[in-house]
Amino acid sequence: MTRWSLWLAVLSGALAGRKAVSLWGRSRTRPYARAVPADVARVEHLTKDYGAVKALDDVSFEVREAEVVALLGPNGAGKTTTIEILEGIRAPTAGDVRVLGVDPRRGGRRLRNRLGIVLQSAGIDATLTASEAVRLYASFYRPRRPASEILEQVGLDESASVRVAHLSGGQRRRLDLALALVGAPSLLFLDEPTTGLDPAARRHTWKVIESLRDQGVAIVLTSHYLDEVQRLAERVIVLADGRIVAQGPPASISGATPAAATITFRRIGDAELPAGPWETMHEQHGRVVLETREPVEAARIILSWSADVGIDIRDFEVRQPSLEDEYLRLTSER
Amino acid sequence: MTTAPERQQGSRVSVRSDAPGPERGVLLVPRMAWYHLLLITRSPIGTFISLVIPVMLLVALYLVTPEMTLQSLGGVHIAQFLTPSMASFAVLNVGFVDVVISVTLARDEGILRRLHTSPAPPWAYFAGRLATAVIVAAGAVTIVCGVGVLFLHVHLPLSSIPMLAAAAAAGLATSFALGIAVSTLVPEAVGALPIAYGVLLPVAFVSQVFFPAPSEAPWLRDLAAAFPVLPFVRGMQAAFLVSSQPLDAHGLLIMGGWTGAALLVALFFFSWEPGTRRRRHLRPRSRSR
Repeated sequence: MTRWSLWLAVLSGALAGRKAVSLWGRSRTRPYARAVPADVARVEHLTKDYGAVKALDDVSFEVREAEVVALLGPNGAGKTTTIEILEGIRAPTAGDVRVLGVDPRRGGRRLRNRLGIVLQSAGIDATLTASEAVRLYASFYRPRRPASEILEQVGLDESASVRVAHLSGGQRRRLDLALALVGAPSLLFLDEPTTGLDPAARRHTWKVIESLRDQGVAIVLTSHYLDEVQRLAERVIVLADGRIVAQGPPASISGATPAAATITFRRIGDAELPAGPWETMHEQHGRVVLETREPVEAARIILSWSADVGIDIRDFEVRQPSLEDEYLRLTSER
Repeated sequence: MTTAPERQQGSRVSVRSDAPGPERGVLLVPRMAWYHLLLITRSPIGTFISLVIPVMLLVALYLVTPEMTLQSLGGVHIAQFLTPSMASFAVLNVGFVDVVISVTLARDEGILRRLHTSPAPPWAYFAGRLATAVIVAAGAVTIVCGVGVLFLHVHLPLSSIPMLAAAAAAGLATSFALGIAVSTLVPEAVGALPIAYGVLLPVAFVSQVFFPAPSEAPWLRDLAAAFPVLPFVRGMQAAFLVSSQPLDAHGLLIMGGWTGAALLVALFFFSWEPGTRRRRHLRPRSRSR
């Protein structure tokens, strides 16, 4: 490469950078496009005691750019405490927490300017309209997004002039989300964001979350809806009694179960099943129920046997253990 | 499972000095004041009480004794004493009672919690709240004095208005700081009104807000002298009564001492979370952690 081509490359890079800087304040397509560290949040050996109660015990994980991490666990498992420590609301008893590269207790306004927070319980003045509430909170941030754009994004554009007191529970939850998005955050904390929403509103919120993730926003989510977690989260952290009992992609957690897949079917006719790779077999309400760790091989054997002996098989079903099955197993073991 | 889209891995901005900062706090003060004024106009009960009770007391006490003169104050008409006293009471209501109630309610409803997680600086919230209190208190003093001057034949020399405004400002600052401090002691919003008036009314009584007490017991006089209401009320009355003592350095010292102590209490004990700091630590955690 000649010296001129090197200079050209540097100059074009600088111009591209200038363009990006001049655009991100106004861009409607990528309002969140800001440079953030690959590790947006990092938690190492986090412990939190409330007197004699150990709310969190040696919790470690990280959250990366454009990643949705879900914290799962029963009530009292430590989910909200974890989120509140990441938000800087609570101080850890021990351990190291870094959010956007800084201690959240010391990050101050500059850090909060880049966070979006949907708290499990936080109020909005009931006499303000949705639009006034969004405009008030937007005024705290730089850059900030237009209130109309945010309200449209969360599906509250038609209720912009409605006072908070007259919004339904689901609409208030969407307003919570709107207030978390006004500053175009790099990291979003969503503490049970769809609680109280009807199915259509839940799906709308899921789309909002997915679009934020696609724009590079890192999201830490807690939820009691496992279908929500399975759909949204790249990684799931299961907490029980303040400890991490499982961590990984939803599929890997549900696939890591020692419980077998379940095959059920009805057979028309009497014939003994051949031997196969199933661990248990019994009949229930006229259906054969098999539990196996090798569902594909088991299904092949059953279908071959059916064809060979001329037994008709109906309602054939293979059910893999779900995230919910594994979650219940993990949390009930504690 | 979806994968993260390709992103430009530019400079690792993090939250350092080169990262975009939030809006400047000083620019948020008018915004906060607008916000508090909006709340007052939408739900004016508290402010209405702060304005109406002093006016009602002024008119009622005047009507009970319309011809009464106060020999202890040089034979002035009762309205000449009641008007600045009720104006003081209005300032105390706006600066103390309203603040205790509104801050406790906002804390109880989680509004302070949400504000505290935003990049707005805490002082901007208080500055906005104080600016609103200044506007409402100015309105209240104007209304009470206007009623006195227009309907009760009270004489207010124009030259005394700066003295009145200075005393009202000092009283508002002290009562506002005390209101914030007392709000840290109120565990729930339902207790705010009784606690606020439970604190204010006895102090107001011994501090000659409702009647002059030339023959009160020495210990009661000493007790009143220790509180900031007496120098404030006398400072307000001095604009209307030549016999009253204007707000002097001693009075300012007492008020300043209370203001400083209140600010220290607020600094160390003010909580943005529902419940007082101590109660939160003692509360068993029943909900999701």
